[in-house]
Amino acid sequence: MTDDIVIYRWAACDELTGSGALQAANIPQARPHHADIGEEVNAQENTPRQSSPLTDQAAALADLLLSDISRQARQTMGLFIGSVTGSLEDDRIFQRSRRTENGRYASPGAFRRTLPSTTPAELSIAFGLRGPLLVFAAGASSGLLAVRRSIAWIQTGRISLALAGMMDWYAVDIAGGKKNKGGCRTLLCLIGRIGVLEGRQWCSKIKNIGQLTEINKISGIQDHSFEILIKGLPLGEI
Amino acid sequence: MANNQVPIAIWSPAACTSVYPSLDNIFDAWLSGAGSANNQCATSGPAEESALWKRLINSATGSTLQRKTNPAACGLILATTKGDVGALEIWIDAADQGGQQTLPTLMSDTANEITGKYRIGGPVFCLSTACTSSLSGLIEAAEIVRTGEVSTILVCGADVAGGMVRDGFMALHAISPTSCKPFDTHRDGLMLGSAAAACLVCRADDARLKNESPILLDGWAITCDAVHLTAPDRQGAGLTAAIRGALEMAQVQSEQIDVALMHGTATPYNDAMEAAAIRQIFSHRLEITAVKGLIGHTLGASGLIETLLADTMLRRQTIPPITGLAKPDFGDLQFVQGMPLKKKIRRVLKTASGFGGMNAAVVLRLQERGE
Repeated sequence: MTDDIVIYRWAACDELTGSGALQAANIPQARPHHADIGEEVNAQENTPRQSSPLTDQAAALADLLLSDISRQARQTMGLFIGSVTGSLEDDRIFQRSRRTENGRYASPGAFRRTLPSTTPAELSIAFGLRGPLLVFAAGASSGLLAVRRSIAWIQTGRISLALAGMMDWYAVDIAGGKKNKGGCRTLLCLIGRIGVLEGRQWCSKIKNIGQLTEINKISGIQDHSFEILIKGLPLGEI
Repeated sequence: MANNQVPIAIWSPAACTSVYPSLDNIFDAWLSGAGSANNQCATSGPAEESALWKRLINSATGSTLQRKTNPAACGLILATTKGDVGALEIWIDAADQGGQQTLPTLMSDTANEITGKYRIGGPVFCLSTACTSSLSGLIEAAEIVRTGEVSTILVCGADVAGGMVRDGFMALHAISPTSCKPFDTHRDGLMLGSAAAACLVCRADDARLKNESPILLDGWAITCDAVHLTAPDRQGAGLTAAIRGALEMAQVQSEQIDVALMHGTATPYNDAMEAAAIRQIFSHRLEITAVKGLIGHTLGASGLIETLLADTMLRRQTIPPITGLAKPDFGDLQFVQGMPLKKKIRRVLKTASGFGGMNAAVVLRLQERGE
């Protein structure tokens, strides 16, 4: 069923357990560019910059993946994101603002970011993605589930291209593990049918990443969802 | 329906709010023209908010699963903006005092509790897309069922308008100082609400529905405005695209929609955006109604609870009036006002929009006997 669905390219960055260096495959004119999504959103919203380290990281990866994709192709592109932490760090920032003067100064800017869909929505705004946007939480299988669902939407013909993967922001005190340094980790793939991006090479075919129920039963603590996603996709060495 | 599409049915609907214990109670209150119920979370703190979250979800899912279904072959989608906000607040306060070192699983924990309680054996996940969460959850369930990967999915949409949420909306100056008045000239903001809704989604030709008249989900679509993080696109382009996508999938013309149950938050920009989208698509006398004046904005739960109210509307062939509407803005549109309207209803359009510019739309129809 998935024979004609491919990963055109992917990009990842892991500050939590990795070095934080960018890893990517099949990026045209690979260039270490850091998109300033705060500026992008700011320009369109005419409001003060309210970004986050996670949004900055995700936007940098999305910029690599989408820089040569036409505006027209982005119009219907889906965005399928898995997340374990959701908006937890932004929730904490907002909750701290609530504690000030019994909530009299609860920050509207911080509140705007208190949704698991905030960072994906910022990508949608910055890159003009107007297709379906879905954010999944399913413990250790969150990222793999998001990719699996993007493939299903492509298979049924609802969309022809999707940006799918996962993104999480772990603060120092919840990072877990021995390093316990905190950070963001994002992996995004540009997925579509063969030929939908005319003239573009693809990097790997998606064979079978499992049925939904199988994916759901993947065991492991949820902090390992990033590793499980990498293992579950045909990304090659990473 | 397109040939390659399997008709999808919604059945065993259930819902409750912090004021109304059942879907019928909500619909009857809506019909009666009852004023705004204070459905804003009246709990005294995060522990009570967490208890309310569990109570609402248990009530809705318990009612839905009373119907005969095999849980081992059933999946679960829990759709919510943020999950258990009471537990979240407790966790954050403890973490900031150095007392928490493990990651909370506020959405997944609840989904796992439901899974364990009812022995659900299919795929289980949570979905969060701001205030379109549960309508998107319903659409995701329909997408999964129509591929045949899972035969039945329990969809639950829930949210509690706890202290964090209330303070946030107040900081945004989005809460009405008076009452929620959707599409009214004097509308001045929303009213929050706490609710849970649940239903089963399966194929319409499922043997269990042989003697039922389920509501069919003929078309659906999800889109993004890609314009602003909290405000809707002024021209309603994203919502227009979602409605057009749902109509196209349902293979119906706009004239074949009898009623639109709109998101209707009563904020100045949202209602104007919805009016703009309706004008772009519908040129006929489309009856428009909205329910947030009665139950408040139930956030991630709103899409599903209102879809299930549309289900009741189709069964009773009656359109309740917009609670709180006294002096309509957008005079060219046809709002149901004052009294319920009895008329032949074949199809209902339900829409939802949310932060991040998210939009979702579904077309519902009552399955006719012998169909």
